[in-house]
Amino acid sequence: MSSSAISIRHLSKKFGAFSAVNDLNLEINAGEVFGFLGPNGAGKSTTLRMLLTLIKPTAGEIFVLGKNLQEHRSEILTQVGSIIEKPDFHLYLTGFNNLKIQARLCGLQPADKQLYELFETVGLKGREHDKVKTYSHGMKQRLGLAQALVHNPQIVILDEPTTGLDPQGIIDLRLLILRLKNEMKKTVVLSSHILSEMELIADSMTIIAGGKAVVQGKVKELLSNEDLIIVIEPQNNILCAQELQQSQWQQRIDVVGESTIAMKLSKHEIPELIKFLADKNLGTYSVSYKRTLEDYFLKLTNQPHV
Amino acid sequence: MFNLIGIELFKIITKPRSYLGFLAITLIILLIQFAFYIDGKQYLDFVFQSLQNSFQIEGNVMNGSLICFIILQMLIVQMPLLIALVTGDLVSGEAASGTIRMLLSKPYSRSQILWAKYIAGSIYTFALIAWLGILALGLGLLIFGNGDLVVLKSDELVILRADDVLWRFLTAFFVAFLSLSMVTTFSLMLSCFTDNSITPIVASMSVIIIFTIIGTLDVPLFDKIKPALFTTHMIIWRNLFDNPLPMEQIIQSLSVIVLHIAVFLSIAFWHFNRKDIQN
Repeated sequence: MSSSAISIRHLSKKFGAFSAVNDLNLEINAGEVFGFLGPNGAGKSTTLRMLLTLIKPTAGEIFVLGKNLQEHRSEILTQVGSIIEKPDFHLYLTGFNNLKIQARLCGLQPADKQLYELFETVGLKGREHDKVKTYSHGMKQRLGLAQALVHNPQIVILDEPTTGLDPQGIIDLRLLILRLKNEMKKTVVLSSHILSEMELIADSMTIIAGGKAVVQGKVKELLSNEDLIIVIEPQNNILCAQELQQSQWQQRIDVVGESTIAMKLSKHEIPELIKFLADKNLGTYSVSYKRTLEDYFLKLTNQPHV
Repeated sequence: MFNLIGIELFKIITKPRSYLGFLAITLIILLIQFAFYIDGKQYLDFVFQSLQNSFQIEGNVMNGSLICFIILQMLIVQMPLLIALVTGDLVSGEAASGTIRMLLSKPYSRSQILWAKYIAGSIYTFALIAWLGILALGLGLLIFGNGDLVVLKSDELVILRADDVLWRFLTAFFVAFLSLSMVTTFSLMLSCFTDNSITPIVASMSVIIIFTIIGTLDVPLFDKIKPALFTTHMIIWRNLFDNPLPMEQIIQSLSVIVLHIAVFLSIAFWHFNRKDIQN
């Protein structure tokens, strides 16, 4: 049974009359990747900032690693690494010196070798002694990650960490997050707008809207009930479409394209569909799927679908 | 705490703008000393010409002490700008660059962080004053030699013996440090209220300039408010060159300076500890 890494109870934050976070309850288990989703202004950043004591809650309590954040602030923050909104640096300093400052702020005096290793881990080897102002956006993102990890925290909070990363950077980051979870047994709190990313790496997630949690649970359980878009690429598109229209799948056809057929199905129905195609001897190049996660997200957060 | 102060000092030392003050002071002092070296006698003859009828001036009047006194008079107006350039940026600069988020999510209390910034800012102020002292007095004595200090005031002439001058200068530098600490605290306080580094620097300078103008204007309307302006007390170092020393006035001004430092610091801590970091 997994223990709780972060427990948020009845958390609220008001800025004047505006309620940014409203009676929010969250449970984040130790050793999991937790996805925190929501549209802009939903209260994600405010919640994460309250977790880091950057913003004082109007009401409610936060427990981290079983301890009350307000009462054990310093002790808790030694176990938390973070990137909030975007990583920020002293641009006039080198990446190495920025990292050294972060380490010293955490009460550490790390050997240079350790810092060089961290640069290698985040893919910045060779650029340690360049001034940060010469770094690209992606490099800054990587350095931000190194800053978040420099004190080997148990909990890593990453707010929109893939912003500005190139495709390879996103893959590298995903692998690093999975490594943090699987090899280093860290708890990772991940806020992101890239919903498909959540599906790939998050164990559980919460969707927040208007400062309130609208859905919480294990990612697999939450998404398995949702429709998928299945794309079939048959040898003979017309024949395949005709067969499907005359079968029990008729109502599930979404779009018939020039060379593909799109259908809306649940994940557990896919094997049955493949069997149907095989039984009808309909030659098929591929059957692939994508989630309608955007629809799901927009539906929950009451956003218009454009 | 020492760790935090070390980090803050490291940030100041590695920031290019921190050297602007040292550069400006060096250039101005060297320029003044060069000018006096070349043409100083003529200048002093002009200054003292009204006294020629009443006094017979002999010996080395244009000495290191006098040059240092003149430099102090001139530079004390510019020093607050050079100080505010660095101290006004201590908190707001971090807010502007976003590094405040990283800083405040570390296991130090906000009070510890602000104390560290204040102490680092004060060390910078002290270093700037020390540099001013080394160049203005040290180099001045080397170039122009020692001698009695003749201070020409608006209503009197003060002549201080050479062996009675050094302690006055050292105390004057310390008093100047206290005065400038008031600027350090003031700009640090403003720095806590904004998220960009320009506003506290410009605001600090604007307030100092406005208060100085009010202080120098000989208008009866302003006479009542002059004692309440902190800039009035920033020039108290001049009184250290009176003979006898106006102790009551010096103590009163020093008390006002310390009181201002305490008030500015209290406001800074109060706001910084309550501030939500939303940027």
